[in-house]
Amino acid sequence: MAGPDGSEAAPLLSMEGVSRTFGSIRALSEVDFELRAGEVMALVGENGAGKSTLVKILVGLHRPEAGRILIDGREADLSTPGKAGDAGIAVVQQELSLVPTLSIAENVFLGNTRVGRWRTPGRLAEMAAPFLEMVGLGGIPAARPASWLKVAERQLVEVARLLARDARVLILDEPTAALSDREIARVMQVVRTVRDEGRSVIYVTHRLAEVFELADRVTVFRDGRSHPPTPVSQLDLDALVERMLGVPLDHLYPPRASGLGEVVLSVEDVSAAGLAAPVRLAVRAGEIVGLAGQLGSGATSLLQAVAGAQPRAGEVLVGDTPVPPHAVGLAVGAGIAYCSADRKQDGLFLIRSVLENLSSPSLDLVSSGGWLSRRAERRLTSGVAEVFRIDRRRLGSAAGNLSGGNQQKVALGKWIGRRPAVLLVDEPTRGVDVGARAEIYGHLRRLAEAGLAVVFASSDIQEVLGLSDTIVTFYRGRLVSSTPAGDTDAARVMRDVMHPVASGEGAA
Amino acid sequence: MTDPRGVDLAPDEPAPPVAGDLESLLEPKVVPWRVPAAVAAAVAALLVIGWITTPKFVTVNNALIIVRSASIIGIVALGMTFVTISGNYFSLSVGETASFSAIVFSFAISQDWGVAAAVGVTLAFAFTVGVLQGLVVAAGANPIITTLAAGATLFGLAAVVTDNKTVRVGSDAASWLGRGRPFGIPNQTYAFVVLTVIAAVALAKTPFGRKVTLAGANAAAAAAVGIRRGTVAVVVFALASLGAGLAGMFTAAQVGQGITQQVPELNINAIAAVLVGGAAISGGEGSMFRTALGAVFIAGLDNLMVLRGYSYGFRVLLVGLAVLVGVSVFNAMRRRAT
Repeated sequence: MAGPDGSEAAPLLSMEGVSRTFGSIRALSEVDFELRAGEVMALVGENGAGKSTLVKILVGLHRPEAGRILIDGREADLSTPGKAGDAGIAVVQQELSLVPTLSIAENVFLGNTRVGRWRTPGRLAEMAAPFLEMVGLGGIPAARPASWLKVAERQLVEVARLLARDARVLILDEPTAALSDREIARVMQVVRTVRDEGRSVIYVTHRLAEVFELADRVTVFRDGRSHPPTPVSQLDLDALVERMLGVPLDHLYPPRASGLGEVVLSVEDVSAAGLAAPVRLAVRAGEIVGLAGQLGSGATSLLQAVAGAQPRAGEVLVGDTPVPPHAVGLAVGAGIAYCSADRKQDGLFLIRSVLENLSSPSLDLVSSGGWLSRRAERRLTSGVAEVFRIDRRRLGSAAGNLSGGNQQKVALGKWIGRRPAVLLVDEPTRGVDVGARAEIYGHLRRLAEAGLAVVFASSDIQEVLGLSDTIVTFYRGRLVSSTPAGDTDAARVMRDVMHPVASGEGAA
Repeated sequence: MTDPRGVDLAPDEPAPPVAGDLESLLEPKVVPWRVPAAVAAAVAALLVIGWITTPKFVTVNNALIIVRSASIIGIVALGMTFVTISGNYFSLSVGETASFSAIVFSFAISQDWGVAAAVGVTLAFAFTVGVLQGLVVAAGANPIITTLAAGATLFGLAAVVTDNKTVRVGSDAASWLGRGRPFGIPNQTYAFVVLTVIAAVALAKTPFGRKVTLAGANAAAAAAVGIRRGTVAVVVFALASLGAGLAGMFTAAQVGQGITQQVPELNINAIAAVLVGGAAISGGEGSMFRTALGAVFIAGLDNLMVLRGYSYGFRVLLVGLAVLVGVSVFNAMRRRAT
């Protein structure tokens, strides 16, 4: 089904010299892009490099100011989302867009005009079943409301929606950001199936491993410009990262701990919802402990229980002092800081200034005699900005206007003003580009070297292996193993978090 | 053991230049400048239109009438602004609270308790009513429904205890409070101006004001940094109710009586003032000075319509339209800014 004959694979879709500015920012400048029929094209680049703008132009949300877009060699009109849909382009957005009160089946067909006007819930569920099957949600009751699904399953329903559209070009914008390894594998399988049917996929991702696993070619964006599409077989990880950064990358991960202090955080037989067995853990000053596990493994539950964000049984001590359970405020007072996985949900005040975000946990420290001290607040926040390299000129602007990486730095950095003894971080680099990722790793290591005990949970095994001094694995609510970073490897960690063998059970 | 809290922040170097304190008090940078500009422009436009069309509108006497009624709306709207910024939308019981407070005040004066005691009892009543509503909201109830129900309860209770009769003050002891004009300006207006400044300072310069703002900007994030949302709710509803209590007291002292519908339209007028002042309806942003201007606008608009002989229904209709226009315009401005 390729276009006019001649070359082996004429482009299905091509862009020539496309430019777009927002105010004084050139989001895209004279970008060329092409997509062949039946290929998976990965789109990578740091936040703000232009990927999202390109995707939004393709789905009719933005209009280019210059350049041409051709589909099958003819100039295409993509000026509205409706026209882009008619041209055969469909997208799964990075942000979840299911309507929680509609049924799963209704969500699969949301905005799909081909489905017809009147359908009984049962009939609609039947119609949705094959698409749900394709994304591995076969047995799911499609007449239930979408709010019933877990986050990862919602993402898969979005993919199913896209399949139901019967589009020729499928765009997946960071589809795996919120998924565990098993679900990522499902999404990838779907992408391969779709490609084998002759459709084309544009796959936007921050996880570079996926590029090599899945894509035929990759287009790298940097500062609003694009590199020519390159077959993945001609690149390796380092070359790809260097192309994204524009400079050679020495180390993504900082060195390990130079020395450990006394035990700062003791978790003694803590149990909570999401944990199948009580957990024991001791973390020393200067140590970074990485909790590896898939979604629902218990790693996140443990962090929340220690932070007082959900009720727990069992003792948590900072130094020798017991931390009262079940109140975030008390845990904060005891020196425990907790940074959740979803910064937009409960990590940031997006409409307030960066300054107010940074001082939000420390209002007692920047006020005296019942008054907020602007001076003290400025000193505290510009100190944090210094440590985390947040541009001080941006302290006054709304946190929502920052890039993902900078937002994450604010969500993390706001705790540093309190000088906590323990820092708990869930998914420290979700939705953060490679450059900012290296920076955040560096910050975490520097904080640890300054005497903090750091515990983070991550579903990215590379991240756990690269950053941790001690690696703790979780599987289905149980602690599987706890090992110094030097004594384990990717294969072992992978096995422990996916399906630990009998030897692992004893440790829990 | 060693003290683990050794993370060293940047040395105590001088902080970078601080934006003027007054500036930060007036408008934080996160608000697009068009919002305050639009509020001021609306008030200016109203003055110009009134001046051109209705000569009586811009006389000293009329200005004082406008200012006094703006003060009543404004005192209530200031408390309402705390509620809105905290993410609890509005209190729909301030009108009923004000009327009930007027009855309490009138009764207290008529019983010769003395002005000071009457003021104390009235404010204590309003405070209690507000705290109770705040406690219900803190327990997780919807603020709109809670205050709507509280308003109906107060209205009914007022009708029952007064047997739907007017409670007369019956003495001149308190009339100075409602009619006094030191240096030609009504007492209500002095109270309004002072309270506006106090409210603005409390919002921008105290940890409490910051907590109100943050709780409204993102309730979950506020909880995660240890801000107690329930406490915030109790205090903001107490403040809104106190404002209503003051308004009821002033009107009772002014007209010498208290009845169940002492201050009709106060709910919608106070909400209108907050909205015309451009506070974010979902919370997290707002300004006492803009709300004060909003109160002046609403009072001025109503006064202009009275002078031009518009019917009651038409006046209510135009206030409603002003709110709709204001809400739409500010919403568009905020959206464009982000």
